[in-house]
Amino acid sequence: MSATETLEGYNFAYLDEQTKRMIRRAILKAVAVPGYQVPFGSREMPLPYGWGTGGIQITASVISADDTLKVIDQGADDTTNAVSIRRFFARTAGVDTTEKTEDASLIQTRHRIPERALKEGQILVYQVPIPEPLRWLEPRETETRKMHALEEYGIMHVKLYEDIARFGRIATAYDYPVLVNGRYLMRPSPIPKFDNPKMDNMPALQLFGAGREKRIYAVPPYTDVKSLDFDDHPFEVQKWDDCCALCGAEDSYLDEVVMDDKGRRMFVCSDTDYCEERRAQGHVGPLGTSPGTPQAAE
Amino acid sequence: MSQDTPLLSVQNVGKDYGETIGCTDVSFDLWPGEVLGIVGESGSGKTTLLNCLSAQLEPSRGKVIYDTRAEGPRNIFEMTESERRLLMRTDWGLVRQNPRDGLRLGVSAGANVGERLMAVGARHYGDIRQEACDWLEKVEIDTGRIDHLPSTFSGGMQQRLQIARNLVTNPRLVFMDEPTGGLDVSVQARLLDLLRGLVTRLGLSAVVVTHDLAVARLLAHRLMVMKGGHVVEQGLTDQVLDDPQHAYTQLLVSSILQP
Amino acid sequence: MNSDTPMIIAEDLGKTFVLHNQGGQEISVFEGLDLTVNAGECVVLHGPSGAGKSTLMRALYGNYLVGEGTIRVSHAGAWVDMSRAKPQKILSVRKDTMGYVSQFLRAIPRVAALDIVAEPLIVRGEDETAACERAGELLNRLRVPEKLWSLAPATFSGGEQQRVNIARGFISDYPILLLDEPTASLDAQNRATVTAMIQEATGRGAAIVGIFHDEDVRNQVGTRLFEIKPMEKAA
Repeated sequence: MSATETLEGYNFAYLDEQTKRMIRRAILKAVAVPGYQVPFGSREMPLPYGWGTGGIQITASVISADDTLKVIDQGADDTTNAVSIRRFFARTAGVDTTEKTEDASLIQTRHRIPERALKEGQILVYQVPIPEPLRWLEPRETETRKMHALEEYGIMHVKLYEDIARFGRIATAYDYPVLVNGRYLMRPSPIPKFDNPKMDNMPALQLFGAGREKRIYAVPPYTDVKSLDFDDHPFEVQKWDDCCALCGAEDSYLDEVVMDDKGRRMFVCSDTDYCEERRAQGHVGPLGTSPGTPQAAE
Repeated sequence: MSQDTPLLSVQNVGKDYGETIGCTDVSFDLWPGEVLGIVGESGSGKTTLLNCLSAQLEPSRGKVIYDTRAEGPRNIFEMTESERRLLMRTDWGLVRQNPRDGLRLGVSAGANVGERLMAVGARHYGDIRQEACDWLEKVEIDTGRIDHLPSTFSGGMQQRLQIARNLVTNPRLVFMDEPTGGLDVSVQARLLDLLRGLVTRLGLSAVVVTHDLAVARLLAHRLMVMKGGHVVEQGLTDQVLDDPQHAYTQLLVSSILQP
Repeated sequence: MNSDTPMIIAEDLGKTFVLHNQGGQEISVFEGLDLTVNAGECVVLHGPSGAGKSTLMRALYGNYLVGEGTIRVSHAGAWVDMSRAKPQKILSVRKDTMGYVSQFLRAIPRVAALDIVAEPLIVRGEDETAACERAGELLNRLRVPEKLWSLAPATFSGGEQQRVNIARGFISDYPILLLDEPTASLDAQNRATVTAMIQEATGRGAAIVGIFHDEDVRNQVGTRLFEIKPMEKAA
């Protein structure tokens, strides 16, 4: 811990040690029962609900001085939210930060899983707005808990049925429900369903924090995570006709970027680190120039 | 399923609300294929009784024994909650008076019918949809409306949809609470005819709560008359209606308006 | 035809109506009544209006409860006491053994005449097409125009309804038939048909109990008269 860099008057990583203990207990329980939502005493954090208060509390509870932290928001390391949270921990915990997925020991994310496969020893912390997958049809918490307890999950397929009836295919594109370890139904947070297969048997530990809803849940390393589907409408991820305009990647999740008032647009990797790494290796997309060229402004 | 074992055996069931009696000392056997009507005025305890029988309300005393497919007769209140809930959504049906209580108004008619199938593990969209279509036909709903929301249906259609939704898992026992209440007469007639046909064709057993004696006569093999939480008379439907023994039943029968 | 085989043995029957809502007034209809009906016999209940003919008939069918006595009915090779049997037993007797033709048809909304007639056969598990075919034959015989078959009888004339009712009562060859003024509102031609049908039924060995207002019919079908005298009305 490089105490010189940290803020005076704050405990390491902002939260007090009692709170961290409480959250760590919740995390241990969550890891022991994969996919089960563990209630915890969520604290007020110095940023509003919906900005990642759940994720930050988890990060604050598991981070240690020798960790290297990466924070992404929609795949990007350089958006306001990602930058603020990264700086928050740099100042309160004095940890090293990075934008490189490979170098990070701890990654806090909103709405994406990095393209580069995660490895053993890494921890991925998700920010979760609404943890309860059954909430759309059952407003009562007592009832949803009972449904989890009794594994009454058939109703979840009603939602997918409606998708197919209305659109001819399962149109749910993000926050796509999964069954964890063959037991608990789980919301993976609003990641695109493109990322769902990465959760399955991931070597890294996945932790989910919902600050406003006061729930923590987890997927331990190498755990089965199955996306729900029908036999005749199997789970599928999005595909693009284009490749990344900057790095030419065909295997990554692409964001559509409007380039001017004339409606010109391009598709670029949503994972900025992945894109840059590829360009550094010499991959060039149709609109890309040389390595290191900044992305088109949004 | 044996003819010697009643499908449902109700023994001294009673339910109190504090000092007030909801219903008390109710005993009867319901046999496979039999339809029992429970009649009585508002507040006579018939809905309380139905709720006890259908496991929606735990009775204060007594037993409700159901002849389960797998394990034979079991007291439903001694089952685990998961067993009971499974029973309720597979082998039982519950048709509520207000279809809005028994339907999911936010999802399409097809999904309403298919829900129970998915709940017991159906995972083939095409099959589920086909089954939903078949059931819409059986309850005389245009299959072209399979993707419409039930909130766009008329009251009679909603009630028929509710029936389809309940019968799709081929239950053996159906509870109905005033199934024709709130419907106008011509719609009522159609629904009654449909129910009568389904009950006969599928060999269903049913417990039907109604305050309408004409409905009871048409649907029920046997009647139970309730007043003040007590069963005052029970017997063959036409016998109870044509030769009522108890003062209250006589009053009830003589109070029917003749059109 | 075996006229010594009893099908109904009613012994010491007593029936009293208690009108609770009219000061508990009691109306005694009959008491100490004995009646035996053999196979192949058509017993005609005889007596003035209000003597209790229909009440007795309904008691035999299990529609009315009797206060005293027993009504034994030969059903599936055993005796069933209709005065004490459980509802499901009575329903089973009605399904297989005992038919009842009342004066009035209780029409069911939306159900076609043909289906009403065919129902007793279908309930007994017979093939639906064959049952409807048989129903058609009977309706033809009773001169119910074919264009009416697919309609619900609620709107039919009294005579037409009565004939639908008769067809329904005769479609299943019940061993016991109860006929409550089946010819009341029929013209001469149809009356003759019904008379013939009743004679055919006794001919095949059915035990019949009937109330017939029409003397001709009574004389033609009846094998025996059973007098019912009105009791003195209790005050």
